[in-house]
Amino acid sequence: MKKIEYQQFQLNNGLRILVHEARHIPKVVVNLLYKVGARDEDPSLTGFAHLFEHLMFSGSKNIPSYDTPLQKVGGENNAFTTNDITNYYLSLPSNQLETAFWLESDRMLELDFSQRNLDIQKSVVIEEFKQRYLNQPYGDAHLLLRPLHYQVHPYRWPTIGMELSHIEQATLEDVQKFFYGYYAPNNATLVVVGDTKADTVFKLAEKWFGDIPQRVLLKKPLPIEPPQQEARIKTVTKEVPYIGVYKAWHIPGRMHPDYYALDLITDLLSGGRSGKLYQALVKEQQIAHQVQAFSWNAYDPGMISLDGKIAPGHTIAEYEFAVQQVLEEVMEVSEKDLQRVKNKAESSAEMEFTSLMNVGLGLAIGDSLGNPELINQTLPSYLQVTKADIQRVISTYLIPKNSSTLYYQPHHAA
Amino acid sequence: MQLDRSTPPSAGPLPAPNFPAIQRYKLSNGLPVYCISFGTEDLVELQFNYAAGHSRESQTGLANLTSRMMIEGTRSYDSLALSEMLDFYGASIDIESGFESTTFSLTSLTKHLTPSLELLEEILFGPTFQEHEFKIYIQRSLQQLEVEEQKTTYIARKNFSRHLFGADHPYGRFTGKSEIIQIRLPQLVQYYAEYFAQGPQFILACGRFDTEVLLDGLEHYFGKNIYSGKNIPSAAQSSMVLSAAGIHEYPIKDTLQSTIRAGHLAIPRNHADFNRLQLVNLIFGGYFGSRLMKNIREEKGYTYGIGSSLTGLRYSGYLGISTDVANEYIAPVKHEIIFEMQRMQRELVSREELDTARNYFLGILLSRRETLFQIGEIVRNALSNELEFSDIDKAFRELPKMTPEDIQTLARKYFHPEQLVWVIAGKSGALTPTSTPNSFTSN
Repeated sequence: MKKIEYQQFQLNNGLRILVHEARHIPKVVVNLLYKVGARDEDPSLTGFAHLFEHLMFSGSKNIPSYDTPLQKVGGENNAFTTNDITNYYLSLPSNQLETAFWLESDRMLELDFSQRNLDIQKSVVIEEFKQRYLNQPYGDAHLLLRPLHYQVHPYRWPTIGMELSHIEQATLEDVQKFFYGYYAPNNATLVVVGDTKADTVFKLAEKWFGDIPQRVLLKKPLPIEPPQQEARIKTVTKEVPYIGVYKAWHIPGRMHPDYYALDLITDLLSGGRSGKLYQALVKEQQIAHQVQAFSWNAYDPGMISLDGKIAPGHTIAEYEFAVQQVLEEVMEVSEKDLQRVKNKAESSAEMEFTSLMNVGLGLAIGDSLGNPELINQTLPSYLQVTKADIQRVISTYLIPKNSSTLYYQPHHAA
Repeated sequence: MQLDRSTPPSAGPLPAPNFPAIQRYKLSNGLPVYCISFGTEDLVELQFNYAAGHSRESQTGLANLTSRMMIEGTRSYDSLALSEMLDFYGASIDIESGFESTTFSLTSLTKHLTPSLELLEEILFGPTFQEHEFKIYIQRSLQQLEVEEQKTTYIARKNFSRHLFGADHPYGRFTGKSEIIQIRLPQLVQYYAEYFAQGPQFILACGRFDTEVLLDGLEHYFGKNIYSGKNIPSAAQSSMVLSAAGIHEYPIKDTLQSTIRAGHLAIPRNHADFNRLQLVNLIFGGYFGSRLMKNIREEKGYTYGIGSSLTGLRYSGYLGISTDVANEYIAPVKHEIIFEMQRMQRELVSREELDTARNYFLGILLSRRETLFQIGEIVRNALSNELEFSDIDKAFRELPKMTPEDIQTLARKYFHPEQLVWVIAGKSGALTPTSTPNSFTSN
């Protein structure tokens, strides 16, 4: 893969700026990442970072509508909140780049705090909560798995929040406090990718963001999750057709060197149609009709999760046994299988970076973790993983006493 | 100098569209190959397009299942070996089977294209349709659909087209549980022989590649097979549409939200008014700044999202509106949808609202030409809807001329609130039932 080139710069107020020039189409993408996410929330006010993200679109000090002026110059935008960050991104025709600076700098300067906006976005977010998590079969499985997996770390709640009532209780005062405590130039990275020049971007950044004051951040040290001592199991019974099994193992955070071997293991397990779990559980033994492993690339120690649904006539014990067998098989991974997931990582990286937005996000995430080079180091790190690494991380992390399992039982269990 | 933050920076005109060149070639058997050189990554996407889909099947689901079973074993490789080899080269094959066509898309690193082509040739010309694989596939699909059946969005989607086009129309078809259960393996073998064995209608290549090398590879694997080139007629061309206006409720127990899908017939993709009507739809409900979104989400907070879209098919089309709402908001949301449709017909849009929507629309058209996949999809849609390539940029010529009067005229011509088909999945009884659904027919 070609190296992604970029230039970087920092304003006196602490705002970090990265630029990657790409001129094949007349488009620019602006990515503004704030280093605040659900992990920074008060346990009694969960879901707040995400609610706040919605409020960022309700107008700022000098610009009553964020969306309209952007749409008028042919641009579009969106945002997302994770447990670690809140990320805003816009794409627009390259000759309209300054509009993005105008809009983003004004909402970093000061929001238009209004009770009416807050009330409306609360009800929008409550409907989002229902739509995504509560009104779907198995939709709350990960909401239930998290507090089993984490006992003290704030990853124990999801970005949407622990419960609807926390969102209902948010006040305008909370909104202001959050804004001044986290939405600061010294807590953000601005990335511009596309048909522009680094010099142009640096000048625009100085012009529009230069006079925004540094702020005193509310950041506090987060509790560290103690090592797990024994397997945890929880069972719930709901109106669903099949038994769902949701399993999680603790793994280190994104910057830990073991991350790459662990992530490749999820590919060996369930990446593509040749994934070992899919082949064994779905195709050969037909114990499950769906099984998927993910590694969660959290900033703090995260998880590998393994979600499956058991086919009728089969039991949890059969499923667990089959999963264990596959893990043992992966311990003895062949050179060919290892090469296969590495090749897949290479083509995925090529595909990912066909999108300017993904390049912008990749640079911003690396920078927020203190290493913008991460975007170029990731693929080589995958390619260096050895069979010995795979064996070591499986026996270190993917072991029963490091796991939490949620059994999601139907009312009419067989 | 104090910075003026309340005035937007001066905006120039949108950049001119520059769609990449499309080269047309033919293999020695006559099979057309379209090549588009695009992108900065060493990737290529090849699309093989077949005239197979709901409009060319005697039983719902045949095209879909046949195409999916084609990757489950071939003359030289079983299903696992195929998957492992494709994954080994970092390649992937996606299958899309719709109303009018079925497409196999191979994505590969350019350097690994040749071995992937060999596998694709096996899949397209040597599938073996094993009973064992078929059983597993059917069983797994049924179990997955059992979970889908609990989702309001799925139930609404499944029933919407049937009420909109009528159960006997190809565009009214949906491959659900009851359709899958009825399909037998010999039917797939038969379907393959009729619709796939004679080769694709065309191949479309997009990405970074040496054209000569690519054409040599395609010639080697696909230039010697039979290519009939015959046009297989679509049943959608001659079927009667029977649209059932009114309310159709699908109760689902213990649901917190209901899905509303509403719509009525509109125009096919190649209709002269299509691009212009897309702009009307955009103002009505087609983007974040639309009237539906502003009224129903941003002013009232009834939903996380609501949107409308204009779908242009080869022989028909429809305006569709879709949202998930709390049960208590079903009636008010329906009321607001009709109100906003009528407002598009009653009042002229302001110049400001028109300019914003048009610039947004054209800006997005430019912006979504970024990846080889997006370019490939635009060209495939043009080919399957029989549009001229010069029409790909037609919106850039047509939309700047549009006036508020044009928007109103089109809304009056094509919006018909009284003809809306309403499908509500979730809570029933929220709406006053209309006596009997009215039917609208057309060809």
